[in-house]
Amino acid sequence: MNQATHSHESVLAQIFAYLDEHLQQRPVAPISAQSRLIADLGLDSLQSFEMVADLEDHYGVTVAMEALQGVTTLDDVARVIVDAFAGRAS
Amino acid sequence: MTAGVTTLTAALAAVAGHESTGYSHLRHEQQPPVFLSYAEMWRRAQRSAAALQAMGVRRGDRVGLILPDSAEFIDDIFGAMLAGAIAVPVYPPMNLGQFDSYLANTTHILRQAGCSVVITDAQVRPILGKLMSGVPELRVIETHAAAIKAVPVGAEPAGVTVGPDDVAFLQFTSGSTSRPKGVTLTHANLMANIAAIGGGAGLQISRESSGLSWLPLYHDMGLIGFVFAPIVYGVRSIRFIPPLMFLKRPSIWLRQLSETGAEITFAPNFAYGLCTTRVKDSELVGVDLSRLRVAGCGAEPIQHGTLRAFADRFAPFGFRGDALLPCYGMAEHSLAVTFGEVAGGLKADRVDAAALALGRAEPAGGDEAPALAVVCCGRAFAEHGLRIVDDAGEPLAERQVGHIELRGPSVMRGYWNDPERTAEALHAGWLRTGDLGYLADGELYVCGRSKDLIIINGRNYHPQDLEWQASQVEGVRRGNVIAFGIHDPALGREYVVVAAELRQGEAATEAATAALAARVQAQILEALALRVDEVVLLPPGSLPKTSSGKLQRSKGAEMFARGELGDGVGPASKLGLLRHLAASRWGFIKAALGGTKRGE
Repeated sequence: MNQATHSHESVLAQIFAYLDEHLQQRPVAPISAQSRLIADLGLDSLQSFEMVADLEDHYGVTVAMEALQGVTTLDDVARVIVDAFAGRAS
Repeated sequence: MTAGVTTLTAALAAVAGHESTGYSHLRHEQQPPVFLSYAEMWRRAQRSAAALQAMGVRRGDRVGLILPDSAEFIDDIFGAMLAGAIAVPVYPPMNLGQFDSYLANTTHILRQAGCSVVITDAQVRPILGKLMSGVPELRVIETHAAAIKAVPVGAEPAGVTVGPDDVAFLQFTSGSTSRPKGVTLTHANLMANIAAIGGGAGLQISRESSGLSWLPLYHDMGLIGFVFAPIVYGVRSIRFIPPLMFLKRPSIWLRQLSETGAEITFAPNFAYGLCTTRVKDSELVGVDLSRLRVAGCGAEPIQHGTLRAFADRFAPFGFRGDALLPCYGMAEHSLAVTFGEVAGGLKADRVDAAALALGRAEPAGGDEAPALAVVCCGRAFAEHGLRIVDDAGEPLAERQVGHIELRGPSVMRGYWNDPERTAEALHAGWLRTGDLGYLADGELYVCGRSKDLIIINGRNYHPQDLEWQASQVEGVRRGNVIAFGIHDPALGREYVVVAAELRQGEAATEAATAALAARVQAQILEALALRVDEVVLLPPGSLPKTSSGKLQRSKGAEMFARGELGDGVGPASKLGLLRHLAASRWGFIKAALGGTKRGE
């Protein structure tokens, strides 16, 4: 894949599309970059991990385990994916 | 096992000369694992012990360990033992910003244990700042790296001898979060259990053995099974994978088993189910599981169907069904209580569902009558006792369901600083497990937790049987189901509720939901001859879970009674709930009606 297309914004857009497809229950507030996985979207930890794994497969990257511990919002998910591109490039 | 070794510290010292065997730790999927020989582990533990002493830790002091990294955790738990201190492993914050409840739980554990020192890492430390005010004894929170740096390479602890009756560590069990229980285990307890686990009647562990685990090390199965026991036997190799790595990508477990050729692994029932549903063939290119001799299953109720499905799914990759080893165990008994027959595979008892409800495990007759498959967990270990008793404590005959009680050298000393609950658990030399089961031909079959039992007209139903049946229904999110009964004087019996999460993407129209609920009711009626009073269907992630991801039935029941479970259900069932609440005598239900919420 062309790495140049994967800005933070484009990864976020991919995450929104993923949730659009997979989220069973619409959250009360609109989904945004600031939506929290558990508190706002109602995902459990296994579903959150599944989403990250699916995004990894989509982009062909691997997110470091320690990076996942700081993940609370969708913005955080996009950040660790973008960071993983940098890790792959180095 | 080395003769004459009676403590875990002596066991580590006994392998301290081994430079080519030891443990390896996979930290990143794309990088090679870090190997630490037993010799290196001994040196690192000695230095950790010296570092703890330099921080003022003295014999008998409690040291909290909140360390996500498996190598650092092992350094410090042995370091604490070598310093004569008592380690208190605490689960690290998993992820995803649940920090407030995490801090509350951690504070309760550290306070109950009376920890004066906490060792953690640089990532976790910033969020632990608030702990200080909640734990009066706590003097210092330090990172592993900084603590170690304060003493030179080659440092050794001063003047401590460790004996078999010394407390080795405290294992905190989940339960009520505000009153955690610290299972107190001595070196003698652990050595007795490890001797039974690895001996001739157990896994037959030798110096040639190898293992692999992604289990968390703050939990007994990972810690005793894969950190302590292998050292006692001086096995060839153990590979550790971070638990989060497994949860993110379950195939890593199978790929690593293939890569290392490990012969022993263990996991709870849910992990086998997770692999069956999540792992894709494309992730298993070249994987060969044929060298796996023991695939142990324990730590939560075992579902025959889950393990069977795993065996079928991965047979094309060389997985041998006879490697499946169902086990029964609990922290209060150090770790293991019974093992199935090694290399004997999965053995299940098909019993008549109607008779089981009356407490009798009768072999099922023809194909027409509802039957249940109860997995065989094997025999008690030599020098250990196991019996089944009735409510009055009288031993029961074979195939009579009753309370499982244990005794012998693996039984804990008690709950730390909690004489009241120790007395409830230990009486006249026997440990009350709180589990129900029966014996057949001397082998144990576990039915469930006694406090979760649903009793209808004198018939006993184990919630996991209802939950399993509900999980079979298309549209239900497999494994995300709880069943419970609430006493209802108006009915003169328990009101039976099944709360199930819908699968992702399942249509949530009122008609579709009602049809699905009817199918769940029909499935349970057919399999167990039990009519469920109410089926509550919920969006994914609605059911309460413990820190380790286990579903919480009692909390679910409380939420249901308060009307907090199932905001998405239709008006008809809401009415049913209100009628039910009005009739109930339970305190928490009255509180809900009065508008005051019961505290945690």
